[in-house]
Amino acid sequence: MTCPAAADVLLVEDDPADLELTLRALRNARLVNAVATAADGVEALDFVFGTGPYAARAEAPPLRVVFLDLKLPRMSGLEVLARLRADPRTKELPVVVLTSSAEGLDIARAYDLGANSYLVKPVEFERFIEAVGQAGLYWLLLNRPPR
Amino acid sequence: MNGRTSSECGAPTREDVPIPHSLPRQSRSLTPATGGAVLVTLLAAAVVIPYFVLGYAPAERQRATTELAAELGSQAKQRETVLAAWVEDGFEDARTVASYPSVRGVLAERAGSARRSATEAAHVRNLLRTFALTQRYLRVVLVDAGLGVVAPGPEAPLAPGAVRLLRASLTGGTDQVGFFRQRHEADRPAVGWVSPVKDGAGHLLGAILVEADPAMLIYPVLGPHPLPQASSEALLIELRGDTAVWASPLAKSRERPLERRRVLAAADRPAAWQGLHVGSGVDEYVDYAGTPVFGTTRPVPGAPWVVAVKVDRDEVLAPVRAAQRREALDLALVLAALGVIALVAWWNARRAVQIETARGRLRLAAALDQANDAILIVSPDGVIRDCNRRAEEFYGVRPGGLIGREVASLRVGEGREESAAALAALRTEGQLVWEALHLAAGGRIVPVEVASRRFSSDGGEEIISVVRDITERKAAERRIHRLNRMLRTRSRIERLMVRGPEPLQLLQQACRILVEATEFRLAAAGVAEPDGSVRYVASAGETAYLAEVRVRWDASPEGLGPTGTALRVGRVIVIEDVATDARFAPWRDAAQRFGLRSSAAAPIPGNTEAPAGILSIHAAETGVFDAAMVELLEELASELGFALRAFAQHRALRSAESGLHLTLERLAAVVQACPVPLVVQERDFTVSGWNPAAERVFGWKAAEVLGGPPPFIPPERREEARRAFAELLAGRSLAGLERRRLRRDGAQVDVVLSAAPIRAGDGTVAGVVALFNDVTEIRRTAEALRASEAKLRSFFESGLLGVLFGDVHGHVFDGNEELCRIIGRSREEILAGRVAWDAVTPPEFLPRDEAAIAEARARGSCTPYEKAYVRPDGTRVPILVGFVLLEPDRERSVAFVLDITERQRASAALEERERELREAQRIGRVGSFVGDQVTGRWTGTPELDEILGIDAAWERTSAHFETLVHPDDRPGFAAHYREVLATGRDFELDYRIVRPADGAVRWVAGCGVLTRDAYGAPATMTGTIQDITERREAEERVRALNVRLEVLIVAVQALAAARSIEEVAAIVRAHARRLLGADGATFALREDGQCHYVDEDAIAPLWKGQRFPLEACASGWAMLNHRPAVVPDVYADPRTPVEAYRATFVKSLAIVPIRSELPLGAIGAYWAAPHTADDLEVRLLQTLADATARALENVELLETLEERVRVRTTELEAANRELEAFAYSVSHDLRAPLRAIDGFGRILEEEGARLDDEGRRLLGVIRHGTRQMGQLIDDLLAFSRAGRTELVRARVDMTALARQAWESLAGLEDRAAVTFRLDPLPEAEADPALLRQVWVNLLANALKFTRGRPVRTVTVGAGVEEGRAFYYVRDDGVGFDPRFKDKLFGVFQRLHPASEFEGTGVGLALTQRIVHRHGGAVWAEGVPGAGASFYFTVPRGSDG
Repeated sequence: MTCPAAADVLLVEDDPADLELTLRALRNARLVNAVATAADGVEALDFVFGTGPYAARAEAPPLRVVFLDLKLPRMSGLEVLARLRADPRTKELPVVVLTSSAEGLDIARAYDLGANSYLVKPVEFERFIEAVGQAGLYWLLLNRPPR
Repeated sequence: MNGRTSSECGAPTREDVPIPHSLPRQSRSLTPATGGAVLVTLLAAAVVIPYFVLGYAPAERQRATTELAAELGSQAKQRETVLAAWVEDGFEDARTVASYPSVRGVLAERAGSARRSATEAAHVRNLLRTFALTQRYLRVVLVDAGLGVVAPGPEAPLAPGAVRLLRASLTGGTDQVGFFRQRHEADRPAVGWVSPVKDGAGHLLGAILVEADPAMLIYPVLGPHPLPQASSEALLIELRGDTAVWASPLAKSRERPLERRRVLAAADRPAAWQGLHVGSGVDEYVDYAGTPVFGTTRPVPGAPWVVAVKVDRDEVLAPVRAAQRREALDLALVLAALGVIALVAWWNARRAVQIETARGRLRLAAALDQANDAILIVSPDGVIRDCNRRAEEFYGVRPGGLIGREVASLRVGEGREESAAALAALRTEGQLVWEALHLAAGGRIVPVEVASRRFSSDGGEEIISVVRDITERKAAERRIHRLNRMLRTRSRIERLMVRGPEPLQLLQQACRILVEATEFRLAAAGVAEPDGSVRYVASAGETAYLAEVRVRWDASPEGLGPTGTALRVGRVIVIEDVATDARFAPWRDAAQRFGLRSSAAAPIPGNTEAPAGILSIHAAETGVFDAAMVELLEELASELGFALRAFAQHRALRSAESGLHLTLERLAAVVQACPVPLVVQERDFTVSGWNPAAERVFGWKAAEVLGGPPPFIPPERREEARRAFAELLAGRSLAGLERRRLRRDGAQVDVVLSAAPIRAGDGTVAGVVALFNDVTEIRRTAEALRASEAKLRSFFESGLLGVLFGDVHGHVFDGNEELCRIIGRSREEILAGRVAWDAVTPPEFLPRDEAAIAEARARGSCTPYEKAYVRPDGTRVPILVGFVLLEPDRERSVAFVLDITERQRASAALEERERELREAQRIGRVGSFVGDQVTGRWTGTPELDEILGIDAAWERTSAHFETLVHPDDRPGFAAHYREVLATGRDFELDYRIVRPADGAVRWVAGCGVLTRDAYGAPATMTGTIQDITERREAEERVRALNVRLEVLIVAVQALAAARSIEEVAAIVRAHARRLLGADGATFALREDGQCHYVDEDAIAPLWKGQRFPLEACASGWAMLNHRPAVVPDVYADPRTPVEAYRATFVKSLAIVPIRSELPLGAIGAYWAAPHTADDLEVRLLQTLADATARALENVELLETLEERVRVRTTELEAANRELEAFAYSVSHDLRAPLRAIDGFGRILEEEGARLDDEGRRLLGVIRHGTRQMGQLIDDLLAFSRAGRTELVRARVDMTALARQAWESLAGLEDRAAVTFRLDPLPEAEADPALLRQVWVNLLANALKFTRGRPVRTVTVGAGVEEGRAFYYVRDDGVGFDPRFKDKLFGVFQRLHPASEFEGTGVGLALTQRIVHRHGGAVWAEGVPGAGASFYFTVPRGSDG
């Protein structure tokens, strides 16, 4: 688990295998930005808001994108999303849902809560690498945040 | 009655072609409407044409010229402006040159005031040339004050026109401009500007002339056509004093510019030319070419020029005129069309009028033709316009022959003036009736009665004349006249006779009276001499005739005439017409000479059988001696005979008186034998002789009279009688005294008294004998005869009655024509005595005849009775007969016979009709009545009495009738009756009556028709009254039943929707009472062996909320016994606990159980008055109870059902939640490990240096399996989703959807290799997302199973089979074994090894699930190696 103080990207993923594959995909895409990870929703929120274990991060520069799994221990991804959107500081923070669920209900609720993008993790590795890589490229290099 | 007039020999016939005389004339009038149409058309023409001529055309022209004026003005102004600029430019240039110092210098030198070198002059020349060149003038010339050319040189002499300009300029020191010819008269025109050159002191040194070519400068400005019109032209005219010079080229002339000039007189100079008329308006004048034009002129400032722009008037006005012509043509066409329409309308109307008139005339003609009289329609001036057929028959002309004739020509001779007078009188009187003599068919002169009346018809004033042939009437009148005279004659003769003259004198006087009073031409009395001749002893009239003829009474030819025959046979013989009767042949010529045309001879009876003489009468006319006359003659002759006999007796008495030799015995015998009353009186006035005749006449028997004074002298005449007796005693005789005497019975007797003294042997008067000739009978008979004669005759002649003269023995002596017709015999047969009335009477009537004869013998006449006669052909004629038996013996009879065939037939038909009507009325309970609206009384049929319940004594008046009407209906009845009287509409009303007979109220339907009298006042009301009580009651019952059924239906419907026991109770309460019209209703339920009165609706409280043991109440009884309880009297029925009802109003009840098996409760109905519920009521109540039972069952069922549904739903919801959780887990949790396996496998591959080949292969196997698994999970999830998600139906364009699916599937490689055919597909109503999945799956299959084939084709299409549309996807791939086609759609079912064709085996199962959810079907056809086809259907709107 890496949590650099000046992270651009927060990856919220409880499955270590998926976490590793995702990080690998981002690396493959030559995205050199600092990637912080969180294993559940509570940790993710602490990181984002600089609370709890991450109090030191309170003054850190803002994140550029959050990759958020939906099925998380303690607090689900959708709840995390709702908290983020409820806070004025993170109201506009780009959140990309990255999940195994292709359920229409999940997709609809994610967008309803303000997700910026919704990616279904492909089972096939090559396609997974490609999908995560492209998403990272887009959100970190091409997309212009509001501020 | 003789002779024919030429006019009637042939009615004038003017036309050979017969005209239908019923349509003699055309209609001469039209209806106002069509006349109006024509008038409107003419008026329209009259208004439009002047408007067009006077208003429209000039206005158009004005408009055209106004436009033109503007155009001309603007064009002229334009040119004027340009020309003015040109003129000013020219002056400017000239002045510029003139102001050059060198120019002045040169001139000054010429003038000698300065010195200049030659070079100076050359310079000036050069300057002028250069100026001309640069300014494009022809040349610029400098002249000195003496008009010598200074520059450019003498090589160019001045043109005369230029000299003129220069001179003018030098004279006035002014600028000049003008046209001139460059060299001589024929040379080209030039325009020149001249400006004087002055030195510093202002002295004139010379002048500058600038010459320009107008063709370059001026003429282009004018231009060829200033206006669109071809004839338009712009001109420039130069004014030189009074002369106008046309300075520009002329379009209409060969003259060149400046050639044409004209000296203008002040009079003909248009104002415009003087420049006074500028800028507005347009002038109309004649141009140089003599053409009328419109033009405008403007002066050009700075120059003596006038610009004229003009255009030919004809060309300008041409469009106006064309338009005018067009408009005129349109107008003419419209008017012509209007005219045609009006004409057609007029023609139609005229035809309609003609047809209508013709119809009317046909009807009139038909009516006229039915008339028995001749009818003429005559114009006021007396010309016949029309007539009926009868008229033509009457006047004996061919059809149409009367029309056009003068009506006066119908009359005889001098009557024609009268005709004119009658026409004149008609004009003032309006109608007139007169008699005239007309020339009728066959030359007859017929007396007619003409009734004329003036009237207005469509032909104007006309006169209708009804001409009636009154020949018969006239004849009858004559006959009556003659009879009257004859009777007068008789009366006079009788008066003569009672005076008892000498026989010869009597006869002579009688003849005279006959001729004088009766207007016979000759009357003669003769006696039969023993030698067979007839000797006339008295005569009057044409007595000379008698001298000429010889008449005998034997069998010689002269004895066969009337006189001889009458003497022989002893009765009257008549010669109707001496000209034709063969018996009169010997005397015909003589008779005709004396104007004797008919003759009759009546024998004068004497004492013996043989006549005593003959009375011979001759008349100037034929047809005089009819039966009445003959009878009169007979009577007259017989009276004459009587008189003669009386005279003979008188003479005999006289001779007795004088014959003293007569013994008393003989006297007594004479007295006794004397046929006339004879009385002998002694000197003391007592009666000593009284013969049987006296007994008969006066009534006293001799024994009663003898010895006393004569009893027959009326008291007031006794003195007279005494005086006469005294004279007799004095020896004088009395003869022919008319006296009145009394009969024994008090009646008066008129007698003619002759008396003489009886002298004794010594000559003294011993007594008196008196003879009384009773003339009472004669007078009475004569009187009666006179009175009855006319009546009899009129009967006899009228033909109304058959008249039969006969006797009681069956003889028939005579009969009139009607009788002949009735019995079917001819008059001749009757007169010949060949007809007997008892022979033509059917035997069964003979007893009736006998009875009638007996009655008539007793009373003189019989009561008329009906019998029949038999005609020769065997038919029977029903008759009514009555007769009188004539005095004295009542043997002879006159019978009157009326043919009652028609009457019998009519009355039989009438009776039959009446019988039928009566029968119909009786059966239909219909009575009819006739009411007199004046008296208010009415009469009705017996059926009516029965309906109304009235008897014969009941007063039948309208006012009384109203008392029959039910009081509630009386106002409506009266109002309706008043309305009928006021409007005349038919009476038609249903109302109630109260029958007086039994007080019963009955419904009746009254109908009546009102008739009115001639003044429009109600006269009678005829109508019927029908008893409709039963019908009304039946209707009432049906209505009541309908109401109840309505209530029942509403209740049953409400019950079907009831959801709780409370609702059921409320519904029953609301409807049960109304259903039966009861006073109360209860709804009771069976609860724990008790009867619980749950609810009620009643006029007073019953038992709501109370509970009773089932055994102790009527509802309980109905429940326990499973059947209805009907209790007419609750206090007399064991089923009802009396105590429970004491406190209630209930007298009767009906209760039905709710559900007959295991009753749930009961519904009861209660009445406050005794009432026995009938079957219908019980059935209605039972139906309500049955519906209530079902409602209660439903309520119970509903309660358990809802609970079951709730439990099931909860279970389903739980299962659903679990399923969703499962699906979620699957999607999420199963894929993460797979991804890990694949991902790390891949990473291992990348770091492949650590693996050998076998390791890498195995790793590949692992990764393949992983991906398979991932795909399988995805497919399963889709499959699951397809079953769970809700269908959202929309219209789906299947063609587009299939195409999209294809394009999403087929990669570039596939598109190149596969032939894809897509037919247009019908739209579907389905969930688009799911259907897309279907297409994707099927097309993916097709792609997959054609892979590797050399030719790959995928076809998508649609079709219809068994009425349902289906879609299909067909490929030519590997196909499949049809034996396994059912397995195709199972989950995980595959027909091909995965090594050949990848796949999870879920795709088709998913397809099937989607299609099934849409309610459709899916199926497949395939052949191994030869392709496969997949079909599916998507029904509309059903959600499987």
